[in-house]
Amino acid sequence: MDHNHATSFVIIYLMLFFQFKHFIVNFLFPYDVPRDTKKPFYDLSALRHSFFHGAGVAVCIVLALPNMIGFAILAGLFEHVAHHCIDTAECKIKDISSNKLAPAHFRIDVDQLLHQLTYIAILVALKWWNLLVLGHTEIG
Amino acid sequence: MTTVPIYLLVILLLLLQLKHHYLDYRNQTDDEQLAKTDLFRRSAIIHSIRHGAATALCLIVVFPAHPLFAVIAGAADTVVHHLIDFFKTRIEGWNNSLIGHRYIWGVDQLFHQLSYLALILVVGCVLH
Repeated sequence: MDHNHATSFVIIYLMLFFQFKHFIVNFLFPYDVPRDTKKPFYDLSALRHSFFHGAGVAVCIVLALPNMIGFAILAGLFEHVAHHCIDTAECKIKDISSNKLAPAHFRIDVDQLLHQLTYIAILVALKWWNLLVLGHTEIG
Repeated sequence: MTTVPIYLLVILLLLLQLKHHYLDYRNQTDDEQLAKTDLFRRSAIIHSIRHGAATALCLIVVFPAHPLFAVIAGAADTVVHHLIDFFKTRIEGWNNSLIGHRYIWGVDQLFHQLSYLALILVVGCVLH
């Protein structure tokens, strides 16, 4: 198996792990994340929810790449912060024309897109981490 | 899966996410949403064809040398998307009170994402 072959598989099964993690934490865990604008940024239940997401990302990376624990921890922290910011922002998105809170389905849609983009950002960061920090040209 | 650069696979994944967001959330009409309970309703089929056409477009943008592959993959995405949406609405109809809309929606989105990953796997295996 050449380097590119191994790297392609890592990218795909890491994303596969992220999708299952996202489903399990977002949809199967008890859902008590605040969905209104009145909850503060440091709401404990929201922080716990995003912590599970961050920990899930770290576990996914360690499962896929057991020798990249440092990157896994950093990516987990990034996911924790990004997920919390996205979820908090979701509660506050306003309709530009009316300056009222946007409909729930609109906010959830944007939220889901941003979570998927976060996972892609982690894949890109993984590539650069290998290149810049570890000095490898390929992952795997 | 030996010669396709990884960055192209990541760009394809990004385009598929944007396509999914636009067509499933921004562009979908109420009629399309309601029609999904019937496998052969015109507006549900049009919704799936839009997804397949957009997938083919994403593939042509990233891999312009493989238009035939893009068309075949687009056709496959049309069928897969249509079936996922159909089964989602059917299960929702049967078990709405038991399982809940949120859980079924999560499963639906998971399957759409898995279908994109399957496409990327095929791209990595087939294209050179």
